[in-house]
Amino acid sequence: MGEDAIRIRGASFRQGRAIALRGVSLSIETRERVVIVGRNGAGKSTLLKAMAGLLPPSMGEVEWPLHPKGPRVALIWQGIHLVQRLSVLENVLIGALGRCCSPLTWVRVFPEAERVRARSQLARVGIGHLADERAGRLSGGERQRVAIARALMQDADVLLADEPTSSLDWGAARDVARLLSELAASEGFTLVSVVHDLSLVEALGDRVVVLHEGRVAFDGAWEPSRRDSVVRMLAVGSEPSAAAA
Amino acid sequence: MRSVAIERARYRLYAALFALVLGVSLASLWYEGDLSFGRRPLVNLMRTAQELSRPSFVDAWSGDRALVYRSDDGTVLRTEDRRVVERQFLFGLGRAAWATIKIAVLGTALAAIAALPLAVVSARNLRAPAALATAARTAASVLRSIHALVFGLLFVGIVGLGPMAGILAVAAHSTGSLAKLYAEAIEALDEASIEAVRATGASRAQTFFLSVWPSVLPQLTSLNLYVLEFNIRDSAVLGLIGAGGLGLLISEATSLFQWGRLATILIALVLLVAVVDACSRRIRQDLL
Repeated sequence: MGEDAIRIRGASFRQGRAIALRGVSLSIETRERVVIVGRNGAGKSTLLKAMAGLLPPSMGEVEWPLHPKGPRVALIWQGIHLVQRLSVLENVLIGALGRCCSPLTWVRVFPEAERVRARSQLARVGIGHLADERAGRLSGGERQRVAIARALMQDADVLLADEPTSSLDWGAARDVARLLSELAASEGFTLVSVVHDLSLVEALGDRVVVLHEGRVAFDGAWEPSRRDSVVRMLAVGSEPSAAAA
Repeated sequence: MRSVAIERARYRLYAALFALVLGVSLASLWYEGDLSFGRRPLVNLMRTAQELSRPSFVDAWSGDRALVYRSDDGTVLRTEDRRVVERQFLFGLGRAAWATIKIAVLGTALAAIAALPLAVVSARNLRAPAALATAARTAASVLRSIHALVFGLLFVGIVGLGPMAGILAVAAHSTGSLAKLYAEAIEALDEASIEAVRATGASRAQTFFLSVWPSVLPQLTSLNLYVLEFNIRDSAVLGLIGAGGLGLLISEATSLFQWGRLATILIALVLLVAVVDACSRRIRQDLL
């Protein structure tokens, strides 16, 4: 571990009339693997968007000490959002758009070096053979791997994953979670994920942050023995979806 | 949230309003003395049916072959072969059908090109400046509310008689329809997948060309074909006002009381529309 990658100090967020987060303070170090859990409406997605710099706080501040001008983050979205009609390779190349500004990209012409990199990212997430398939034809697990390859393509220091496994069956969910974790270790990026399913916490990280009604209810190392107390903090009783595995 | 009872009461209110409009329309028709089918509707109907039941091409090949022109005292002035005459007519019919296809295809293509920028600007999820969006939506709505036939009358006056007026008329009206349909297709896109591309740091143009455009292209193509089906029918009628195509022959046949020829033209029109509809449906199923 090392310096802080993301530092949040007393941040509050309003979304319309509702207050999504109230005075959250949180520091995440580089190469850390953090899992955020909480009930529906606890503010998990808001927190993730704030870390991505997509949502300025209404009070307090969010900082990226390594890149003061703006974060170098990549997002993996809830529900996997690929461009269905494009090929798998083209979807991965979309991750390179931030640095390829040529109008040639409008007609999907990318530098050869980027195409080579995109293919190697696909190979890294285990679907190199699907590069020329149409993205809409893949299974849920395969599509999530494409989304991960697209995120890797962005050369980010921090990967933010919002419910990366919510649309997958249990087996595929576990595989994707493990893949994310392995990549974080081998590529050396910081991984922050939001999950519903406590059984995936262990695969995705070693630090868990529990959000409850917009506040941090717990922040510490994850140990299986802690599971029960985390469950209690989530007050899962009234929220069956959080307990479903 | 509205309760079911309030929703049902509203439904009944609208039904009552509609019944009122129906009643007033009918009463007004009766009051002005227009609630009439003429003096001998059944006899007229039978006669029209009879006249249309002998299409000219059937007549020419099954009936008397010679068409004899006589003067008042009975001298034969000229004899024509009806089959030769009919063959010429059918050839003309073919050309007119082709002109109708041309008007519809070129008109629709022109409309597709013109409608795209209007739709991109007016689609709510692409967030164009509000003033521009309102202007585009208003323009599309005005174009849509004027029938192609009315545009035809205008364009005949501007560019003269012939298919060009028809093409421009079809294009003008369809631009309005397509702009609305395109914009709705764009608005129905998966917002989050566009957002995901934007969040990679892509520029506005890149987001459009790599996310919006490929996702929406199949729908736009399908809409073009759909509107083309309508335009085949519209451009057949446009001939009535001198814009070329089948309508011109319809107007000739009716003004010369040649009901047999009218029957032939209508058969050709129905066939043309059916073939275009079938092809278009097939292609649309293939694309989506």
